[in-house]
Amino acid sequence: MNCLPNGSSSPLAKPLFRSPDSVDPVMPRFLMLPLLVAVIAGNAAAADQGIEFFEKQVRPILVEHCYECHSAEMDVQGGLRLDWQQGIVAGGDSGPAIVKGKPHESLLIKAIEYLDRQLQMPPQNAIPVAQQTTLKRWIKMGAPDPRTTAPGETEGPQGMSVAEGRQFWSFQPVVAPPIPRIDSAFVQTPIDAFVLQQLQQQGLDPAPPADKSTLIRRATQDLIGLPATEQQVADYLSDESANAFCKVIERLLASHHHGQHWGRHWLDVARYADSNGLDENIGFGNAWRYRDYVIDAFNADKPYDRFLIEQLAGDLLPAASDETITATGFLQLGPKVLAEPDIEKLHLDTIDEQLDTVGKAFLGMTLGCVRCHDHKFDPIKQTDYYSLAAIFRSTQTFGERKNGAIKFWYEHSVGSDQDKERIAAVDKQLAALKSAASSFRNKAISELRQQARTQAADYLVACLHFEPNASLKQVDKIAQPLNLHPRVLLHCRSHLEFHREDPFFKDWHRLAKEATPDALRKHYSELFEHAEDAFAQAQQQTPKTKRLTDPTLEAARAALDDHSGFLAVPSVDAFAFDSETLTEHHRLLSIARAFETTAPDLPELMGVCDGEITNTMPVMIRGSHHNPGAAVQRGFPEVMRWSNQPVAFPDNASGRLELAQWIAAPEHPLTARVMVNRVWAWHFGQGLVASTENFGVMGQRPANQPLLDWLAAYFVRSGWSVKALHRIILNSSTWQMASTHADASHCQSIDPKNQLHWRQNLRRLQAEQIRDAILSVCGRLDPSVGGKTLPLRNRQFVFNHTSEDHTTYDSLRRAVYLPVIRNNLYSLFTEFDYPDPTMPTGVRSQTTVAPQALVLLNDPLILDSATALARRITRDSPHSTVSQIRELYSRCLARSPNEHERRLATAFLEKDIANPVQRLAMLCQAILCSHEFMYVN
Amino acid sequence: MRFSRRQLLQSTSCGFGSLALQALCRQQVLANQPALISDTASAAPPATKSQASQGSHPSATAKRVIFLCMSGGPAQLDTFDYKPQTGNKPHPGSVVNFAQHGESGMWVSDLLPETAKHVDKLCMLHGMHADTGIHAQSFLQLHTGERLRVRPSLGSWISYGLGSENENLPGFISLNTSKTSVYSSAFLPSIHNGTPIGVNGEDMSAATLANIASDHLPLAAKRQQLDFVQQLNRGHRTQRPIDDNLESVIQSMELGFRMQTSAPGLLDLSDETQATLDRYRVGQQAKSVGTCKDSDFGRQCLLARRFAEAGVRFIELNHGSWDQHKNHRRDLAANCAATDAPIAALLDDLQQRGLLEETLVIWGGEFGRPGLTPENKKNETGHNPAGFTFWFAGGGMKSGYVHGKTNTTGNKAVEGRVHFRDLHATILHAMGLPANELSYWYQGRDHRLTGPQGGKVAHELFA
Repeated sequence: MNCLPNGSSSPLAKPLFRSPDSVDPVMPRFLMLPLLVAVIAGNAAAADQGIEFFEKQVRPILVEHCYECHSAEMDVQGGLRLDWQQGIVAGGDSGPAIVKGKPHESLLIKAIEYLDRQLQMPPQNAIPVAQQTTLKRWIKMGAPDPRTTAPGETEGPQGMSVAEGRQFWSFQPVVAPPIPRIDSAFVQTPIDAFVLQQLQQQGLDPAPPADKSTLIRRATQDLIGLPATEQQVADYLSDESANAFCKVIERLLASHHHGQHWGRHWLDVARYADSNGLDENIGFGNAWRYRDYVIDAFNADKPYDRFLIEQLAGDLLPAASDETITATGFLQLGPKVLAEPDIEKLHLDTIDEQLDTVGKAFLGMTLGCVRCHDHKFDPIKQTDYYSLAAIFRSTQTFGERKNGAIKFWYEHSVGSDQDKERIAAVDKQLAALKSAASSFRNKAISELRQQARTQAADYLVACLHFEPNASLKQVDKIAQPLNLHPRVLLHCRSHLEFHREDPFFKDWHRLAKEATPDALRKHYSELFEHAEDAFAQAQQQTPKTKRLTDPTLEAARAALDDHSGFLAVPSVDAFAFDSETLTEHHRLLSIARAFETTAPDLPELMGVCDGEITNTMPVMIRGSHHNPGAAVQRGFPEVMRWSNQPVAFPDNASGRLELAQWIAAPEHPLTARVMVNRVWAWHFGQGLVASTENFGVMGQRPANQPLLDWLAAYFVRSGWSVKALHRIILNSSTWQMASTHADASHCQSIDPKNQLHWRQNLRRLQAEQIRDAILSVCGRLDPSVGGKTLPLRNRQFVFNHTSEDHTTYDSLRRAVYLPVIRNNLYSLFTEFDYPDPTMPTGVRSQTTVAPQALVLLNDPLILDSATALARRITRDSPHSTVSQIRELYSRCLARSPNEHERRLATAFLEKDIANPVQRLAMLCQAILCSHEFMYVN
Repeated sequence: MRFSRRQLLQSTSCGFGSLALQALCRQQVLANQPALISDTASAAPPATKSQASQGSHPSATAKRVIFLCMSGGPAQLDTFDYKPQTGNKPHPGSVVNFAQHGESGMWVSDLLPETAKHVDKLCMLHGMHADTGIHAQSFLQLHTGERLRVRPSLGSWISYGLGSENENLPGFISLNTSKTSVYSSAFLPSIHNGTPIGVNGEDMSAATLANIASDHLPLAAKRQQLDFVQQLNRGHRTQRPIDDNLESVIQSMELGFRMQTSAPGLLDLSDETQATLDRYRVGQQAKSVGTCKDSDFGRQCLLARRFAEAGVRFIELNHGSWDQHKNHRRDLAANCAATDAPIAALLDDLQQRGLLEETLVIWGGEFGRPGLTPENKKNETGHNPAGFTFWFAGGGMKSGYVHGKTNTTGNKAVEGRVHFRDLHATILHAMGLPANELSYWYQGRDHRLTGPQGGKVAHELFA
């Protein structure tokens, strides 16, 4: 595909490398056909001469100055290779490098002549004029070049064509396959038929069903992310009705905890965070509304197509509401370089982030790769990328306002005038508190300065007593008795050292050598006095006086007035102020910060809206906005289209709604597949397609495509109901299998990753589940729901004046409500594989590392919880060890201990270590970090 | 028996060590396969411990790295890259005095008298260049090769490639660290995440590993508690022989427990003599001057030696800020004074213990600074990514050797140019890892430290 625009067809195709005197602005850049001037045709001798000229004169220049960046061996910058004939003729991103016979039309010559600021090569220094002349002469000759074969051709992989792509499994339409007819008790749902068919093909038997107590524990963790209580287990075990398990599922799906757990799954995909991260890590004060929206959506079983459309275009729906606008927070939550000075780059980077996230989250496609070039593997072209980018280019992600260099992301204001008044008053209060702190500081600084000024001569005398490299301790000994500031004194000494040549301080060095300290004091105190007097006088006469005429007095005055001069006060507060002043300043700062942290914000919905509508967007060559190519229309990736009908994008809207509706259409080959695969992965620990974010060529192939497709079709048919998926999956024999297998090692040798599902996977609880489970069994979990929990005002900096993030995680609410601070995540979570909230994550990794053990052994959350649990148990069963152990097992593991376990625990409680209360707490902690507690069978 | 990728990852139970992975990695890297670890069904043979514990790659010239990270952009022209005035017209260059040192006659600024005594150990790179003069971006690129996105840090790649030499300690430690993105393993398995000790701006002398303190109970009591846990876990484990990761958990609990005793010991300097503490200037830094913050660099250097001795693979130290815009002379002098003696002591000790030849010491920051013109009184410098200085010591590099140069004003690298990606390639090469082939499959493509462009190994630097 040729990315170069042909001539002036596009208004945006403005020439970049125009030489200043060029008459035809388009001509130099877009010469499409290298003029094939016959190379000194018909005359062998002349040809030889040409080659000789090349070898002797031209090649050395190219090797010396150009190959480093423009040869296959070293680098191919800008797509230009000068290491063989065709490389030069074909040129790079900006077009052919030479026009044979016409040096003045050749980009190569323009570049080396250094006339165009945009195009100067080599970038460091121009080559000598003689060499420039040589190259011109060579081109004039027709650029004879014997290098007819390309050295070291290292072509990168080429992506699939669109036609090939349509044959690729994930781009083919979803067609529900017939359900295999297998007569087996295992087949309780169509899922089981698909699974069993594959197992049978491999000669494998599925594991037996898990026992009932395992099932209910598994289902509870799976659907609400909390452990089942012993009562719930007992109720289920005693329920012998045929639909007992269905009842459990319905109870769990109806629990508001369901959305808290499954909403969190989606927040992984949405790379949800409460702060921007990157350079300017400021609080997303309104992100929580999106978080609550997601939780509510899963609780309400909002149809997935609707859920998708709202997140991409909730602001554009005919019946847009606060709720649907909040959903567009999805597009706004990415990390942004908010202080990026290059606005165009900021916009394109932001669009890239949005596109990449949309691609991974909904389509299982890595679109980010396509910003700079056609996809290396998938049938996605750069034109597809920019067709989509044009839609987002027409979307407004940034607001009008900014704070210094920091741009504001867009938010929909929903505040009333009353709100605005109220918040304006709050802002005023905050400003007053901030200014109280800063004026206190300014006052303290000027007092310090004033004091130093009155002691100026003392400082200069004291400097006689030590060398510039003295330690602060030594200086302190000298400063204290003289009532001088040790750091000012030390600084004064180094200032003298570094300004030996300054006439004003030259005297000091001279006097230090030749005169007594008293003489030095006399010299400077008189000088300063005179200077001050003279200046006061001068000002009396002419109030606007800035300087003195006498050079010596002026130097003295200037030295005294220079805040970074010899009496400079340390710029670090901790060093400038005594502890009292410092404490007071920090107190004032803390008051302001505390006020700010809890101050209300104007009610705003973090999201996007339509901006200036553009129908087209140029393809940025190599992703650089400095190099725009041919423009493309708004559109959808060709390979995913199922209709040849061109999309009619409205002229007065961005096209996001059309995009959202197209992605959410039942015909879309990817959308339903990607989502059912996610749900499957969250139920089994791995997807049918293992690469949940990549359904492309380099992603994994589905382990069981008929099953995936059947589920996708079922999902659409059910009205995109996620709860319908939960029901059919949890009711399947496949999900209900035990995680052990009688012939496990044989199965493992055939299918080590359990892709065929010959058993249920043993899974460790996720980070949040671990924490919530501990809090819950210890009776500490705070049940409150929703709302803002970020301890920051909107756009407040995460870090305070001491560069510390004071976000605390001691809230006892469910983990989904803890703030997610980019660059500074909750360490307990990161130890347990919490995902990076800068990119979509479908399946979390599950690693086992020693720091996790350190958390379990020593983290205050665990220790406090164990102590709390021990206290409860002691309260409920004060006397009997046996009943305490029973109670512990019941609360933590929802079962009774067996005889062996009881003996072990009793023996532990009888050990002569620590006091009995501590021992019980230790036992509690031991159970909390045991496998049985941490893993779901 | 065959293992899946996931099981292998999960069974690298020693956590920090990643021993199995190491062998796997070596095997695959050498076979030049596109992905070290991919989700393909192809199964790799299990690695045995004896295979894995060899420590480093046969072609490696270094076993470990100590990176002296000088954040803020050290002024190369007033430290190592001497640019005296030439011609009649005053021009930017060095504004402090320089002298030649050692047998190599290398020029070093008078601000670094102690380091100057070690010039014959140094391999100086004057041709460094980077892409941007924006601190955060260049700092990230120096660490991860990427300016904007969160990518695995150099230390994580090396830990991933080679594992740790010591089962009881992390493979990658970052001292006095700043942002997590700088030492993050990003998409690499989290065992390769840098372990931070101390946060920039906080007191280094109290810095320690998270959750390592366990004074709520006597260790003996905790041992009994862990024995109880392990008894339960082994019982659980025997019922599920196929779930090897359960065995990993049991082992990781033991390692965590051992770390409680081994790591605090390494952090406790009370077994060092006063003479050593003085040589390193532990706790003696003339407190902050201007941009120069007290990083207790002496403690960092001494800890680095101790971690190197204990077999930590990648140790990063941090001092800053060298971003002395105004008060260039004063703050630069302070930064030099804060780091000079500690670095000299570290080089001394490494050599004395025979560790220098197998330890690659790296000094440098995210970019350099343009020079001042000595004649005018200006005392303010900005940023300059177009030419700056790094140095290596040990690790198989040439010593007393100068590579590359900048032009007469020192603002552009004109010879022996080394970009960060080339620096990365060179470091990986020194560690015996194939620079442009060490990769990780993530979200649809191979990622490598040296980025899409790849890096060029500076072979000239190797002795």
